[in-house]
Amino acid sequence: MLFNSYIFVFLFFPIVILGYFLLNRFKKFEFAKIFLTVASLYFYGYFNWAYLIIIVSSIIVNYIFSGILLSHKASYVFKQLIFIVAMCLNIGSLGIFKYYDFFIENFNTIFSTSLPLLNLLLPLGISFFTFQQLSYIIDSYKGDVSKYSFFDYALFVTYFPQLIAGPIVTHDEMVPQFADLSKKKFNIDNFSAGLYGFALGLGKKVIIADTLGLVVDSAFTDVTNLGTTNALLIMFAYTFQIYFDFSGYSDMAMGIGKMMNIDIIQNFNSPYKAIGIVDFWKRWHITLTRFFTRYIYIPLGGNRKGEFRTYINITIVYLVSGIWHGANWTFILWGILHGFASITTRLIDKKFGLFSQNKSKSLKAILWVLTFAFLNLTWVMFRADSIEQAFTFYKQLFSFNFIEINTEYLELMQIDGLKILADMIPFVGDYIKTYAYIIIFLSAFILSVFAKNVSFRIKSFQAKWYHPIVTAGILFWCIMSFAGESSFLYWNF
Amino acid sequence: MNSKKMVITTLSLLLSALLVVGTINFAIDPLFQYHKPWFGLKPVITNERYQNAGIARNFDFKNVIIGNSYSENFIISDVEDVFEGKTVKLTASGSHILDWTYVLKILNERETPPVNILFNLDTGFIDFSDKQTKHEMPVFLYDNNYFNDVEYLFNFTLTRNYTFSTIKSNIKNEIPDYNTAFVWFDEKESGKEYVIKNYVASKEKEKINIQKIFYTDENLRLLSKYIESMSNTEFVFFFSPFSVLYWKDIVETGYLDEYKKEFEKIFSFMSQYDNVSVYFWTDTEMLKIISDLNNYKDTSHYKLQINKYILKRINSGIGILPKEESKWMTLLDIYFDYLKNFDYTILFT
Repeated sequence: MLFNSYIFVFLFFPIVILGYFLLNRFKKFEFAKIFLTVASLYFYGYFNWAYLIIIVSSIIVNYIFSGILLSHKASYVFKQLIFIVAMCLNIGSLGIFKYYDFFIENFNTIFSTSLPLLNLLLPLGISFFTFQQLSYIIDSYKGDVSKYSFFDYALFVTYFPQLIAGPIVTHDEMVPQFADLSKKKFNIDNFSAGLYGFALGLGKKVIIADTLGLVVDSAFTDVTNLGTTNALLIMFAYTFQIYFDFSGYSDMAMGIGKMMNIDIIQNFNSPYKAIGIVDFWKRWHITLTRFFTRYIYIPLGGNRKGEFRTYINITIVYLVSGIWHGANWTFILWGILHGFASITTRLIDKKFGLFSQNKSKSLKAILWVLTFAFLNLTWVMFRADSIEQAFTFYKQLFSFNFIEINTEYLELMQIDGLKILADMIPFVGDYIKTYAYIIIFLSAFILSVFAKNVSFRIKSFQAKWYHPIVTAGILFWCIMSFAGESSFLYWNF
Repeated sequence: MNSKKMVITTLSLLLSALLVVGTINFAIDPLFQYHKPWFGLKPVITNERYQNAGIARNFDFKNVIIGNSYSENFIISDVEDVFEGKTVKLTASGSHILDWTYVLKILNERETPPVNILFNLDTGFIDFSDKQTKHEMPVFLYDNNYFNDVEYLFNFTLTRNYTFSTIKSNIKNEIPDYNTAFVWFDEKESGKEYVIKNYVASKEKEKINIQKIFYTDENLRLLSKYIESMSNTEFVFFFSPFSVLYWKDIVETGYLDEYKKEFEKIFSFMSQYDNVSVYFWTDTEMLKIISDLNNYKDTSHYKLQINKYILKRINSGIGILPKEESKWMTLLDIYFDYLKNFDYTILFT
């Protein structure tokens, strides 16, 4: 089920929130958890009921494994064996669903073989729920966790706001919240903050990301004749699309959680304000960076084994990050480029203190421009269907062929919401339609570079007179736009 | 402002706005899902797939035209002359049997089912999938599920393109002529030279798909359900007269005999029903028509005049398929022998 769907807004969420608080109201706490787990599984299975088999079996198997790892009776050797089996099963299932065909395709190309592909349907959010469970298995092995009841564990994995596209939450920040009695009662302050956050996230996704997505998808069907002007437009469009899509989803997750008194960790902290790539990764998909730092970078030695090993470890993390994002060489190359930029940033910083020390405003501005340009260029690689397509795009970008903007792209950005608004406003209506693309790009730029982010707005929310107008306005606009095509970019990662 | 007031005001504003838009869309109902036009508004019919469901459900009529681009060029009044009685056109460009069953389902649920339904019969019965429609169907308009009507009532695109447009067209009195609705034929884009030019160009681009999959049995199964349950409705099929240039490709890929066998299945199937009549023409005049590319826009799409000619023949009862197998087999032999022995080189001279 999508957050941006009629069924979610009109039926699923009202029933879930009502049922959850009613059960808690009558002190049926355990039932409330079971209700929420079943509802979350329904939310997940709504896409494809076959996915349920995968997620449910994954939860049961991992719960049994963690039980053994936390048991006092099991021997150390047996626990080691179970840990290895659990790691292999989790990473193996992710590998088979997500990477098997990619591996075989490359194997076939290199060795001129014709091994068959599996063509498996990738279960939605498999990377997210696998990572959450891996973290629990690893912490169980270390003995860093207490044993949870099955439904506490199942709810931690399946809790619907973060199930499909993160944030990658950890058991220690979710399970205690589900158990906290002070969070069982409906809280109007949390609800209002959450509703506002949800509306803002939904608006980011539906109004900005989906509109830009139409243009980007259209352009990437054939990038051979873009010229510099269109390539620039499309590059910026994708930069904003991926941010508003993914962070919009995380904002909605935070908002929904907040309405249910559950704090979901911030996943984006205005990443396009970043000065330097190291800074960017502290702000972009924060929970993924946290996972890699905790479970790959630090176990590899982190920065404790000398400078050279630190850089090797950083490279490995970025390489894994690239692979995590998808089974394509484009993602791997994108990861390597970011790894390279991260190391370069650190080296420059070490030598000149360019990024970490107090900087003048003009230097900050220059560094911001360089960072933003790098991000834009590498997002092209991320979006491209193949490395060849990415290079064709770059060729067009640097062809310095300043042709006119493709009118199809401009028309795609004349969304019906804006058109209706334009129809209703006399005199300036035509300008709104003509310059719809400027309105969208400018809004995206200002919101991502200058405005406070949604996470901050939820945390510091205090109802003002304009909040109902903004919230109802955005929700109305989005509901009226649901019938358009839509897909979340991060589902397949 | 406190949080409680914020939430109540937000939800009140949102629900009021949705209620206003939903009520306007319901009252104008440009897709005719709930009722015939109210307030004396004239229907503005501009989109087949979005409006067919509502027309089938709520309009008054005796006869229906169902089909694809091979039926779109019928002038409604011409059909009314043949079948006598009010006729609606529920065609859809690029549609095939699976699409048609959506409309048939609604027609079957009507209190007064249609007297006649006119269909085109073409090779899509044979080689087009019974599982997948070519174009996306707005299924929410064809079912009886009131919950998914939110897609209609709360939708910027539909509100602007249909509700507002219906109001505007009525105010300006610029109602599209329903008698010629969805007629696409353009005299300038037709004729032998035009057909051959596009045919050659498409051959250069297109990879010839040698592998053919036939879905005749499955498609006929879809139809049989409605033919049987709508026993008081006459199902009238006419064989769409594609040009010989269309058949040239089938002859060259060696599939002509296979197609003939599939048409045998279709004719055999249709012969068993009393409420089905098929028009199939193998006379010299019709063979001359299909051999002359001046009658076409491309290999299969014929001129508007041919649609008129088809109706004239149906009206006179010319070409009605006999129920006896031996008789229609003879007609099929004539047709397919003509295609097999045709000298296709003359088309390019």
